[in-house]
Amino acid sequence: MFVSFLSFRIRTLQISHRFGMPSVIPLLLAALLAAQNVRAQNLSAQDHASRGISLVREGKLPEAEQELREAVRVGAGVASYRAQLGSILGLQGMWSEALESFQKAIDLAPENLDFRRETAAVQWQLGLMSSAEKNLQYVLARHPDDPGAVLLLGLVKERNGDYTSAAELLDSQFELVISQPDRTVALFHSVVRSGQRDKITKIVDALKVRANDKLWASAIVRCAQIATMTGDLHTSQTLFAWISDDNPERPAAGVQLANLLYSRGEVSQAREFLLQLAQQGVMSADLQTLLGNCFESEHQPSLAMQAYQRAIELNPSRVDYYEAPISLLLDLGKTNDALALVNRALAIAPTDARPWLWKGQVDLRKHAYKEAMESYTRAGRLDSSKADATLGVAAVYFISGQNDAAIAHYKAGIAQFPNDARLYVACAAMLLASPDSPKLQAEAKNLLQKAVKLAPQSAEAHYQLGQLALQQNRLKDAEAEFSLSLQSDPHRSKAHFALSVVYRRMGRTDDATRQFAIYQDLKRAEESGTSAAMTAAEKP
Amino acid sequence: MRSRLSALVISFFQDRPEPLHLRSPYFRMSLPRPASSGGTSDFDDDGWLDIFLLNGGETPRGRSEKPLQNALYRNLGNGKFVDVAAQAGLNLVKNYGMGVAVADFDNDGHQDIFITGFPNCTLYHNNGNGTFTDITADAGLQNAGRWASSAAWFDYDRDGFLDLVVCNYAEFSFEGVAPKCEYLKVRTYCEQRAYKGMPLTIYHNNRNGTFTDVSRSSGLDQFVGRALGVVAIDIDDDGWPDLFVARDASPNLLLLNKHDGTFVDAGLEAEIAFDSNGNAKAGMGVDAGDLNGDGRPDVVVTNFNFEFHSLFLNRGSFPFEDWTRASHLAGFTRSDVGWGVKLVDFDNDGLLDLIIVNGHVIEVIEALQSQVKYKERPLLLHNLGNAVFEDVTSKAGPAFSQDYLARGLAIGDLDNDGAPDAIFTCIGERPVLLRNNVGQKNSWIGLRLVGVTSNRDAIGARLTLRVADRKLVRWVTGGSSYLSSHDKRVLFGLGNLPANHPVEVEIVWPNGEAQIARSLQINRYHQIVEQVRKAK
Repeated sequence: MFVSFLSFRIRTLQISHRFGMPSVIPLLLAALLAAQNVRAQNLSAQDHASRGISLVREGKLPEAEQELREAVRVGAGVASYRAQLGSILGLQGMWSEALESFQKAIDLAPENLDFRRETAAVQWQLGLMSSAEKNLQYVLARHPDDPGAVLLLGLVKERNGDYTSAAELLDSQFELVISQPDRTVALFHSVVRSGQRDKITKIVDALKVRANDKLWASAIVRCAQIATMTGDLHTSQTLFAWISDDNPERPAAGVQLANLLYSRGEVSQAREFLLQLAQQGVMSADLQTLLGNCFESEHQPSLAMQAYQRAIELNPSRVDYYEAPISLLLDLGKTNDALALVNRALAIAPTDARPWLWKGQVDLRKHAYKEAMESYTRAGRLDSSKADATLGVAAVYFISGQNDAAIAHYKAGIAQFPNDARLYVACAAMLLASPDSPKLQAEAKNLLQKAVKLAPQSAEAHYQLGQLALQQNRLKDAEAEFSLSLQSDPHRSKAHFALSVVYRRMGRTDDATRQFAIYQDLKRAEESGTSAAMTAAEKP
Repeated sequence: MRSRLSALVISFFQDRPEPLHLRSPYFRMSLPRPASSGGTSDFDDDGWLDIFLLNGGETPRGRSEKPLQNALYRNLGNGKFVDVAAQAGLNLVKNYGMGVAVADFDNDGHQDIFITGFPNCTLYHNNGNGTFTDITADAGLQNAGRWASSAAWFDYDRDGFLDLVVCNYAEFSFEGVAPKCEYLKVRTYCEQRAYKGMPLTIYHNNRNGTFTDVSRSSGLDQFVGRALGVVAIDIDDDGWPDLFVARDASPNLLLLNKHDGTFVDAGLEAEIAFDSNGNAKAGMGVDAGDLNGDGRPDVVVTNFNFEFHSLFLNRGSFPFEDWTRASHLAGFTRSDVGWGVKLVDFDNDGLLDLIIVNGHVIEVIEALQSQVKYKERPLLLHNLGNAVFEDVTSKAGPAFSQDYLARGLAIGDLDNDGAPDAIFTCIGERPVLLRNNVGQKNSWIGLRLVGVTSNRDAIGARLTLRVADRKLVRWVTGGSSYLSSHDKRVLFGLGNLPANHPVEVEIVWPNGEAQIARSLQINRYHQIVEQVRKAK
């Protein structure tokens, strides 16, 4: 069987394939080498074919291609020459031409299962999943245990997002899979995505054996990233430990892992990890920004600011890195410093709407409402595709005490951006906060329900719906809405407070006490940030 | 009801007799928020309420061109007042003055004065001969080093002697580095959280002219926050006085008396501590009384602009009902920063109305928020029943059409006509004295309670008057409003009850004993002395 040639292929041909791409090349090669046993139909054509195969063994693919093209020309009716040509084209990444050649081979020999399998491999490579699956199903209908077809079908399923089937198929060919990095990544991806945690250990163990093999380095990085993206902190940390310091993909994978730690609330661990990466020489603006986030969460604003400044120094021309420090400076009450940074961002990207939005925030904080209105208006002109500027203008109205104007602006925004849930929520919150809110509850509820339809995860929409329910003493509904709000944003102090009110009214004193304690912790942290701001503001 | 009222001419007028011209310099850049204050009480026992006005004081950075003075305006009974502070020994400003709490703490029949402030408080004993003696040190009421705001006399252990609770605002020092904040480059007060709060202080009256600080044993020392207003009243109807404390960006407190010298905070259970989002409002002034006629004390708290002043209805169990919007108080107070507040039946129709004085703290606020003013109008809100109010400020006379930086508000019937009058203090301006020209048009009855085994001022007494199908319940409260002290006589408005219709009033004295005063003539004051039951 062709699978016996796999290890030979890798070492003798030294085909360098990029991570995650031609998982099917070994299949093609194996088929190609196996095809030399096809009985010659035409002596001259066979000579060309044999020479071509020899050239493949020597790694001379263009020359091999020429020989096979000659074989096809001389022996036009021989399907195997076309298949061999297809394989050589595939090995050179000429997938469309390879597919054409394989299709002609199938036309000549429709029942040849090898051709079908190889064609499927090329189709997989070209993203033609349904065609590939058809060919593979054809093979498996006749040979249900065909390892190559099972393997390929697993890869097709993985690409199609049918992770459960993919995991099952690929796992059934485990030895075949773990002999090759890309397939292992595909199996890992399928297993993780389908939640088959029991199979993860087996794959991780297999990767461990190969941890020092440079050919497997990228696969390990990729698996670590998959684990990170799917929130599997333990596996991600295990795999990351095997990535060598000189692996160029390590910094990005490290920042991703740190981000997972941070989002899990393991802020100190994330911070330490990032500092280690930095000590190891990783210079990354993303790393410094995340480090700044960590310091901010730990209420160390000056360290956070230093990290944000390093991020900007590493990549001064990208305005993304200006947002976090501007926000922090505003929190610290250092509006002049924030404005200076906004002006730097504006100098870099004067036609980018975001710096103008940030300027609007700074203007608002400086109580310069006219300027804030101008900044938000300008941001709206630069990017009319988003509702941020509309929200900003409404905020100016609200903060300056013009509630009716704010509500009118939100409503106009809803007409302009009917799919932006934030506008519905903000408008509803404003209605509910007004002195006449008892008369406006129905309208607010309607807006909030629309918001939830648009953004089911909107923490604020669920929170406001909870408040509505609480006002009407519908305690079960209130509990459900506040819980949904906290699912989306566990750090929302006011939702914990509101839930404590619900539980207290329900007589669930212990639950109320627990929620209130969480609220107090979060609130204290929020206010300590403000206190730090005030202390900082005292300094000349 | 509405049509009847619209026919009423509500004409409080602002009376500014020359003797009341009181310079009230207030160094607002040195101390945030609180201002000078006043109290009404009959200091000379001549049957006419006098007025004590407290001045702020000098600070290291704020010196006055002329010596600062307090004032004690003796009511001559003819609509005129004369300042007798110097003769009384009350004119000197010894500390930075904040608030006034007046009561007969030693049951000698004379009204004594406790002055809150920084860095010390002062207790003046009324000698009964027109003079006062500073006995602070001997009494142990210095409250040293604390920045005291409002205070309330009340008998928490029902031993017949008034104890004292003192609200402390924040840690402060003239020597320290004060937080600096500004709006539009104009120096102003910082956000409240820039000032670290302090615990309350409570002093037990030792019945011998001295007091003991029992803050720790009572449990009150654990409530750290920026306390500004306090009212002592029996909230849970168990016969023991409780405390409602309004705090500035700290959760309000509802301190229930546990009958053993300790208190427990039920603010969370009552849902009066925070707003619905878990934010502590900027509570300043507070008062309590029965606003909806169910016999239970409801609570009003003044707050910052856009927070709305709060009204909590006491339904007899927790939580209280937040009635702020339903009462229309939210709409009426949206733009106001409120301070002094009193529940007072200004038209004597039997329903407690509301007087609230306002004034912002940020000089440039009008440039920041178009709907908010620096100087603000006082509010007169008429109770239409069920604690729903209409705003009658515009009909209340010229004084109500002007804007002030008002702070303290004290209530008392200065001319003994049964219509409660008012005085409020303002920053850097004369106090405003308001005579009520409406209340005397309806029937009324006034009661001055004299405790015998209970404290002599009867603070903590509960009075119930039944007339026709109505039951009016009032309390003699301790503290209330903001930094101010009030007439302790209890007025019942009786609407159009005929003048020859006698009434009876049930009094539950602070010690829990009930007494019924029968066949009381209306439209006059009565002195009711506590009956002492002989031991069997």
